[in-house]
Amino acid sequence: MLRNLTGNTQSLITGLILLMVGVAVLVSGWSYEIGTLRRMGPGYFPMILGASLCLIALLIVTLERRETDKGLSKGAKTPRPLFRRPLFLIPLAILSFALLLESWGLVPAVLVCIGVSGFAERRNRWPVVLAVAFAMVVFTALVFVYGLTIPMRLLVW
Amino acid sequence: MGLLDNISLGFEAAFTAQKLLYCFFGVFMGMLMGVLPGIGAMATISMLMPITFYVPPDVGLIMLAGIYYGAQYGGSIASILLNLPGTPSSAIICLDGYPMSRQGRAGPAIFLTTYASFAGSFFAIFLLLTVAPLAARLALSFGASEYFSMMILGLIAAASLAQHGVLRGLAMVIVGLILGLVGSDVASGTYRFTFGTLELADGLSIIAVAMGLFGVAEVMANLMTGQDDRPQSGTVRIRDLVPTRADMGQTTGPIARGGVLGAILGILPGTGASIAAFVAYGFEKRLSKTPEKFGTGHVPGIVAPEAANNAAAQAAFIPTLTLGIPGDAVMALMMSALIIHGIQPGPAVIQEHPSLFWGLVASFVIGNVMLLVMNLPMIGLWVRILTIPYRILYPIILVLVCIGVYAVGNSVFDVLQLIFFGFVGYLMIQIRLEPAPLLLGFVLGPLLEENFRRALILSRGELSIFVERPISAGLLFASLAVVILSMVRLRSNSKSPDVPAGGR
Repeated sequence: MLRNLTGNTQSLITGLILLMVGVAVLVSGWSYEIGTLRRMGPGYFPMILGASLCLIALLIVTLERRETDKGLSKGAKTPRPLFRRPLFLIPLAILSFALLLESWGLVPAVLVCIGVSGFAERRNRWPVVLAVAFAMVVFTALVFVYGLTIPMRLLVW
Repeated sequence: MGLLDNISLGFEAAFTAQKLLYCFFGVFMGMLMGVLPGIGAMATISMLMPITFYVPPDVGLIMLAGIYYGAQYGGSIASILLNLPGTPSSAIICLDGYPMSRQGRAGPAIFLTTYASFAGSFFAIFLLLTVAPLAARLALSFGASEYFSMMILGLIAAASLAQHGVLRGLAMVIVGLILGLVGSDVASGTYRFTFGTLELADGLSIIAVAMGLFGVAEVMANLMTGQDDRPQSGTVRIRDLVPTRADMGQTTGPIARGGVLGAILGILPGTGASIAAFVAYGFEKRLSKTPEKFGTGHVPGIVAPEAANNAAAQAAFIPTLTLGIPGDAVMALMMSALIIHGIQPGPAVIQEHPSLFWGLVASFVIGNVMLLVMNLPMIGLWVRILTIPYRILYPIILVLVCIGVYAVGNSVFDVLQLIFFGFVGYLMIQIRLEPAPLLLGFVLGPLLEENFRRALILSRGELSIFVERPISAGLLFASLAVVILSMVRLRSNSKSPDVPAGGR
């Protein structure tokens, strides 16, 4: 992954990402009224922030190179398995929780969230995941719905 | 009001059944989560934040605070037993704690860190009793320019202590400030960076930002590295807990120095428990006549940083409550919990809510005694908990984080933000950007802008107001000094010792 890159490339990528954010803030902040130092409009502070982020991004690209090269060489050698399931399944688990909670209720939301996220780890077998999921349904229902009376419905018919 | 009056008021306020119960619950959960690597005070506070809505604010604050310092106690246990820090602030404990455990002295090591935590806390409590009222009185004379400069100092201090250099730290602070802009502008009511959605009018959800960056990102990164489950700690046997007389003899000086250092660093905004522990370790090593013993299971190497991180965790409440300027990411979360309850942290808190403030301080005493009593008999339990594999834990963490984020705002939209910040946090881990300065910037952003604008309205647009007022000038000068010092450190390449990274 990105961490495997050498320090130079990594500083460059970091700097470019930050620069993009900075420029985006400057561009979109342009539409807000800027005003003067004495009477600042809503756009003044964002402009300062966007500009300073761009400046620091450039500094990272130019100043940082030699320094990170050394620090990184150790960690860079360890090979990292390109196992991509978590990057897809973890967000999907959260998304399904968000979509199910209000329309179907807490019970399906917790079941699906654990069901989906559980398989982000290859070695998890379904009986284990299922057991954890049902245990958490009972736990969250007791603690959050009955105990704390947080307004969440268990099941929506 | 005299010191004794304050103390008695505090204990009177803290000794109610409800507060004792929540204090116990807080320190217990804090310690439990602190023991588990990958979940620290940050995640625990976020997950339990919903509870505080159903109790009075002072009870909620006592519980949240208990989580924070309870996690400091628990964090070192994982460091000692597994060489994996339970919380970032106990990362440095690994260096001498794990060798002790390899030598079969895990029991004494845990005993000594518990003792050091307890002793260290009292330095901070003493400071809270004496310095906090003074700080609040001083803060009453603060104008907009002083507040602005104080926050700049805090943000810069946080940035300069970032692990991968001051530049990256500053970048993260600014990104945090930018995220803080989202929502309606206080002065003009203009919606900024809301992308036309009404849900963003009140700004981003702090819990979603915090848990996305710290919790979800951490889970994804841990799973992506494909690391195996934690090493089985079932083989760790704790024969005798009692340290030798020689061990005890080595503790007094390091604990006292660590406690004082930690308490002082805790007060400074921008420096939290992790930094305090690092500084205390380095200080102790430099002072030692036998620096070569550090790293081989040397007792001062565990007690000094442990005293320091506990002292700092409690002293950190001083800037948060008296100035309204949180010192680290956890305090930032704590402050937003207070604001949700309608209490604006600042110099007026001690005056307007004396029983809240002094009750909190008293609860520190009570909570620390609870932790001391509870920790040692439970070592067996901690060892067993550490054998729960991560692949079982992470789906549980994920569900609790989702519920926590939802419950704070009763909003599905906040849960969606969690996904976004999970990705951002994962990317940040990959390109080695730290989330802690970002979160501090995010919380302070609106305050910083407000005071900046107010100061310049008062000065009719003259920037010189920030250097003409002596306190403000001093703070800005200190910020500049911090930047220069950390740039020099970057050049001389004296990097801090490598320690395993841990979750917050």
